[in-house]
Amino acid sequence: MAIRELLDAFEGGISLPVDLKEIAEWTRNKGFQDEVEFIGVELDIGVIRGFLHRFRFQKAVYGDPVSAAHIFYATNQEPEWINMVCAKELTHLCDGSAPVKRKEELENLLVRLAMPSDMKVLMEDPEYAAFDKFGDAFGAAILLPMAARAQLLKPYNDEVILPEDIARFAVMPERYVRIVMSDRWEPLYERMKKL
Amino acid sequence: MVAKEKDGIDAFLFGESRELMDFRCFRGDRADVTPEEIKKQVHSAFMQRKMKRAVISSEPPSPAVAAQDVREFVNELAKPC
Repeated sequence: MAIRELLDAFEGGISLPVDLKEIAEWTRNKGFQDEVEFIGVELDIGVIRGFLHRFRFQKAVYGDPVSAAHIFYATNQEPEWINMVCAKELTHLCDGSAPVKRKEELENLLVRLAMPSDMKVLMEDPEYAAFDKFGDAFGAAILLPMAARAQLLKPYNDEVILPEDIARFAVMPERYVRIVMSDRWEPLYERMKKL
Repeated sequence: MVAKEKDGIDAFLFGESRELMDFRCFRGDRADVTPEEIKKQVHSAFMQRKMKRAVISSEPPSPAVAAQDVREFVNELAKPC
């Protein structure tokens, strides 16, 4: 599984903030994408903070099709959120499950996205499976790798270092720091690697 | 769900010259978001790119802070101020 490969490749990182350039480069070198482009635009961040558009196109008449990924992110949000959006969408490049390719699938996705998160589980939606539910968690796993977490765990549990300090250090939203530093993260992480 | 009539983002996502391979969104925090509002934001983003009002790079935006080794940082924490 490509997502496991991605997590395995970067979970040993102990330098913060994580350099997302390395992740983007890794996806190119692994052949998941030929081209990855990051596009900063103004968005209503209450509605969406960013999105990923993957497509294939013919660059030359007789050439092979090129696979491109455009990661749009809102420039009018804090750096920690920009990092989170880019990290999450980069992990999707390694996710081959239930891609949205047709208009009907897009409409379904948008209806699901519009629902408050606690309502999503009520919708019968096997096609979109677990990855979508865990989407943010993969981004968080990239921004605060397991090895860095392990180093920070004792001072965090001793309350020497606080969630907001780690958020500043890793340049990621505090709400995700609390999840990654919690006792529940390790079993969740193991589950994510099996998806 | 049945596809609705053509809307603003169709031309960008389902054009003849490109084949859609995947589409994902990072939802905002507002509780009462509608699919139409999401489409409007996606359309606006595509338009900003076409109008050359977007910041485009082959590299992700980099936070303006230097990276630091977490081990060194934790060792520093243990030292008296």
